[in-house]
Amino acid sequence: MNRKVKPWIVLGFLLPGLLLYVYFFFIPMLESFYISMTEWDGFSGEKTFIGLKNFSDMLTDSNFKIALVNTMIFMVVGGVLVFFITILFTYLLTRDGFRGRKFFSNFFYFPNMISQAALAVLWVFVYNPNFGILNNILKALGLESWIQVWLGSRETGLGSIIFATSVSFVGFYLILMLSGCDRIPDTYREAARIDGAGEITIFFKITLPLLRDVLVISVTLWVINIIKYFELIWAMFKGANTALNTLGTYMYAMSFGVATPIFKLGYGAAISVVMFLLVVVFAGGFRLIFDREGMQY
Amino acid sequence: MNTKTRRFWGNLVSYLLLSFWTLIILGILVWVLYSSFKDNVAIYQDPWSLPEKIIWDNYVSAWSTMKMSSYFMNSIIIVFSSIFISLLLSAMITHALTRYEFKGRRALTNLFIFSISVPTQMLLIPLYSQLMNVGLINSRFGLILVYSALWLPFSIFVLMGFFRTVPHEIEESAIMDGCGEFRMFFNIMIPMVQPGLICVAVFNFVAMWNEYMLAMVFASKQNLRTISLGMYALRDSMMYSSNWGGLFAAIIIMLIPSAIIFLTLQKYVIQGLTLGAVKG
Repeated sequence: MNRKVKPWIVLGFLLPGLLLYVYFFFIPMLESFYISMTEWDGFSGEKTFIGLKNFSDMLTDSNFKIALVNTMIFMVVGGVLVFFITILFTYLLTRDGFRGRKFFSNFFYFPNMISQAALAVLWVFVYNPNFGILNNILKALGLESWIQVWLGSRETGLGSIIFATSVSFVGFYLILMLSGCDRIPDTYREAARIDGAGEITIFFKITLPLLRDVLVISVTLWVINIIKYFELIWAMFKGANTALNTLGTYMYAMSFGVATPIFKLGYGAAISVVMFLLVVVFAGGFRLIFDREGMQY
Repeated sequence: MNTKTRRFWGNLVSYLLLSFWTLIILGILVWVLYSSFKDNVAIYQDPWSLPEKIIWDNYVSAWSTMKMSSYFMNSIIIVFSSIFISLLLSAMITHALTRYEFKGRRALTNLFIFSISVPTQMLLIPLYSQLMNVGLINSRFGLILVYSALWLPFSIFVLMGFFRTVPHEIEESAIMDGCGEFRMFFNIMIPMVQPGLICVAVFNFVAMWNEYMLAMVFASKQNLRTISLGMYALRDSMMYSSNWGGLFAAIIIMLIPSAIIFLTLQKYVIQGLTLGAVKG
């Protein structure tokens, strides 16, 4: 039970952080909704109120639609890939008698600590059509027909970025899942083993259902992070490749420009509001469907 | 097949799959490392070949000509100040949220947790005008305040898990001994949640060290650039003057602090993920 103390003590603890939070987070968050309903170039102090025009403009903006669809593809296809690999590795690492779990999980986490700006350089090299390692490997394997300009078309470009992203983030979700596994008492799985259940059966019938809460949190975090995803893609193309824009990079391009400043700040704010609504709908909706009281074990 | 052979094949397949993923990561890391010892000509001839002789020049040019030294120092100042501020303020808030009963406690807790889902882009434009109004665009202090504020909700989220594990009996006995609230916070709570503080510090370090979108908008002047923004700018300038060897050396320089922190403090990260994210 929390204690009741004098109000000035509570305030003493809350106020410094709260002031910072309100001024640099809460007010900007609310202001964003207002700016999204204005036309504003950022230099003249004048914000012209135009209602929902920015939002209706999006309906006819083909680049916005590309960015929106790309973001959705990213979220769904990338999510399936990342969580398929994560669940597969969780299974492999928690099999009875497996050695080296700590080494693999820690090592897989490491790319998560590398700057996306630096990784962008590396991936552009990997996917380079002329001397990139990917095409070189395909050539060595005799799969010449698979060789292509990986970042050239929308399909392969998105696929390439999704793969690069999953290399960075699988480790993070893997550690979340493994820490969830540690909270499941061994007795459950031992009992099943004595009953003669195979490792795969144990994983899908016992471990995975008990990991549900962790999985819900992981997927929620994935949705939150992927909708605002910016740094890798921007460092790779600088927003110039409109076919591979996501909402994060398109919002930046509209607000602060690619090569020459655009400064459509009102429109940029409107895009960011759409991003926020997507997070609320997808992350919130997902939690609503799958969340439930913490399971007892 | 008996159990033993089945387990053998199972392990073999496991190690093959895991090694494949390991190879992708290791391959990239090793390639950057040895490329940082090659000169431009060698990189152009074959970007994948091993260096014929080891050249340290790339590190010298990355550090001085490519201004990594200045970017590095900027990042150290900005990132460590921001970590300190956000850590202190979030610990104080978490202490109040998990120890005291007051009106609006639940609402405030929910507000902070909800804030995690706000995309950074949504704050970008309002913050830009906010900082412009108070003259903090293109200043280290402005970026420090932005970083501290933006990482506050996440820090609180992770710290909550740690603060909740401290039993309430400890406070009771401290009160009996006549310990004041602020002394209790600094002398009893802080030491007890130390692993949590380290965990948040590591998380925030990684995120802030690698962040460049906010830095690009709020502190883009050359002498204020953080290391991540510097890296982005370097890559951008490669279109005009290419010194790829230097760029690879710069990547390694940038990676060293993260690698040191990863090797020494990762157990706190894993513990933090277990406590904060999973139970939160």
